[in-house]
Amino acid sequence: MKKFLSLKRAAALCLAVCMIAGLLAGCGGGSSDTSDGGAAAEVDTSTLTVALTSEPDYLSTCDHDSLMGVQMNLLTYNGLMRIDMETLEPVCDLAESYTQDSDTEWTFTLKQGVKFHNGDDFTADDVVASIEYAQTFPASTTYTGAIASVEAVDPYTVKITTASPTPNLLYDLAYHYNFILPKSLIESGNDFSANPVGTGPYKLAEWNKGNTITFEAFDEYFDEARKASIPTLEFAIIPEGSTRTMSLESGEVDFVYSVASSDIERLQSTESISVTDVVSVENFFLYLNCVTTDFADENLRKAIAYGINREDIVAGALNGFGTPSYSCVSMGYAESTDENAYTYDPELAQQYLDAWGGDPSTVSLDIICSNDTKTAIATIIQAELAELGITVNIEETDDATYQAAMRTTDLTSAIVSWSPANAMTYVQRFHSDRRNQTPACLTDETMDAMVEEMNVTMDDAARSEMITDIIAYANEICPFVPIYQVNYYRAYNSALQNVVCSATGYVDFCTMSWS
Amino acid sequence: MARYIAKRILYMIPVLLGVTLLVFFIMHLAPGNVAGMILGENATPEQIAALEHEMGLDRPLLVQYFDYLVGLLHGDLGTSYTTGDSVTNEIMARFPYTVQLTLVAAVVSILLALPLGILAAVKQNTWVDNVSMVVSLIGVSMPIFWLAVMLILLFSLKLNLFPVYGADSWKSIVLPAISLGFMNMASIARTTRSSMVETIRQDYIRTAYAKGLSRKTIIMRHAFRNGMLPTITVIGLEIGQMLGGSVLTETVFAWPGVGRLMIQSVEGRDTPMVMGCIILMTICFSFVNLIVDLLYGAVDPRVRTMYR
Repeated sequence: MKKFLSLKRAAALCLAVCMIAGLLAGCGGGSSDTSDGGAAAEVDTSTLTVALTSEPDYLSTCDHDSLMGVQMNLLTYNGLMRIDMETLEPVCDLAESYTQDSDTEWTFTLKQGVKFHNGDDFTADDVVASIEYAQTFPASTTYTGAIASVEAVDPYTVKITTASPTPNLLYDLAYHYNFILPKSLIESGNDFSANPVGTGPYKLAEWNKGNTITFEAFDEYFDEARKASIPTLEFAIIPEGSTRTMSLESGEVDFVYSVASSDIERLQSTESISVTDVVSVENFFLYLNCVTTDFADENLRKAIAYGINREDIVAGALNGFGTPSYSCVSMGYAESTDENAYTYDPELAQQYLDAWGGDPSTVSLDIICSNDTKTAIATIIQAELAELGITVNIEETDDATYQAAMRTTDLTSAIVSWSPANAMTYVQRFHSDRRNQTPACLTDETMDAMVEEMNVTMDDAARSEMITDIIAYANEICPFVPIYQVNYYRAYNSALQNVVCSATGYVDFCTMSWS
Repeated sequence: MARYIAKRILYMIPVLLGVTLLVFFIMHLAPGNVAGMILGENATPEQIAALEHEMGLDRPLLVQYFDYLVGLLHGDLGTSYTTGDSVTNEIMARFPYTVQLTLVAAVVSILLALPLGILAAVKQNTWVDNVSMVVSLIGVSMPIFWLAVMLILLFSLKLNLFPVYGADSWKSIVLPAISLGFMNMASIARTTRSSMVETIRQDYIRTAYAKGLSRKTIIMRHAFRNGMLPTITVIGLEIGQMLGGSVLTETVFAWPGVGRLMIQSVEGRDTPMVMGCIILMTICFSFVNLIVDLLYGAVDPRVRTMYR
């Protein structure tokens, strides 16, 4: 019996030692081993492997409105215009130049000698066919609806007429719905998702669903300055954050599109890996039902806005990897302003609550949260508004339920994000016609008048000034409560050069090269 | 035997019907709007209504279900709401990966579990038994997610033996199969042990010892064969489950299997894709159960007589 017990003890001890050794090897070994850099050890300069969080549903231009989908579109297609990733301003792409003939008429001169991936020559007929094709998709209306007609004046000249003055036209033409496809393939009913033929710097080589998407450089690309210098671009679909990080550390991938916040510090301290931190224009805010709840009162909304400490949210819910936001429109656009913005001020919050005059204990703020980060944010808001006597209830839902709720007035509040390419599109959201999509949003006649005036102002400087005024006015009436701007963290092998990451979330893979 | 198999395959029809009916109506009962999801936040109610009409989602539910069944009878699982591609194509692009992972993980778990379970039973109440059961207890209790990350840290980052992610070579399957197999090994080993412990206490085993047969022959020919029935059941269940997709393993190792596809489809309210995945799971489970039942017959002659 004694012998049996001692054997049992020995076995248990051995097992415990093995387990602890395994744990130490696993936990300790990974980080120390990677700091001397698996990533830079050996680089295959003919390929750039990028780890993506999710797979795009489509590689075509008109079937989606997703970040990943657009990122893929930027490789295979071009528009007449493109958004410069650093300035966020529209610049000519397939258009050589353009002139504005009147408030509603624009003439575009096209680049010559441009080829599609299938060998077709790019001409004005392709532009007409592409825009008319895009207009047949219901989801494209926001970006194609203003265009009344497109006409091919000659093989390299296109005339676009808008239904009303449309200062946003150049931005709209840079949007993926209006990217140019070969007329012959549109007419033959080509599936542009399976066979994405455009004029872009890369062409699709293979799409292994759920696994990888591979592109090859297009040798006949028209723009020498933006011609791809890395022959093969492979996107690996790696949904798990820690796996993406370890793939980069092991050198299996060269670029991680989205770094898990828990890994940022470790990667930043790794010599062979660079991490870019871009403060994006994606703004998270607390959407309030201004139609059927107490939040129709401006004072109550402001009490909430002044009662939330954004720095606590960034520190607590985002591990410090975000930027507190106080203005209704993200900082980062040329027109952005923090005039009338809401800093954290509990005393002021109490004053607005008093001005509202109601009993805070009767206010029930039910916040819909469609993911874990939003829930963490709502939990901090819950604690902070409790100090004002306001009860916050957190409703966790999936994305589909959240989106359906946003289209009704049957909700009190939700944590929402938005990331338009330009400030004008952003402030158009304040107009009451948006109640069509979000019926519980605020209606304000002064705001409507300001937005309508901006919409028809063709002079760039005057319009910019108007946009700034609109933002300041929005801050004054507080249609919702801004919380934070997302910081995009992209990690990559330090041997990569010319890495440009835009504040709208896109990465310019065409200009990247290996040192 | 052939009649028995045919009967079992025919039984699958009402099962499949029941499953499709349940899943179809549950998916439609869930809040959220498919057309709204596809068109995005900026879509107007008119655009949503137009798309719903185009997709036939504005028709009565029963009509939609009936149409789905008609398509199913023609072998058409429909078109994915989110990718616009054929559900059959999407599933068939991923199913081979799931089958590969399942088979290799099953081999790993069986190779580890059977010796462990038999050894534990034969050496019952010794340190060998205790160590075996502690190992299988660890397998049952250890989160697969954690084990997977530890395997990557050790074998990919430290020893540089296997890739971290993907499904490009035979090396890619090693770590996912080990992590999935280790978890399944635990339940198979425990079942084998308890079944074997019961069997080796039977009178006929004592008789075999009395007849002077060798210990090895008694264990492998008499005890193991008779103690296999519950183990076969558990192995069948584990394989059936793995064929339906192993979401966590697939997610950590970026393995492009059916499990991940189904989770994405549920999140995206992609009813045809969810239905397709569930139908596949049902068929896999039913076939594995059938094979398990046939194996019972192969192992136990008494069961064989019931097939006649």
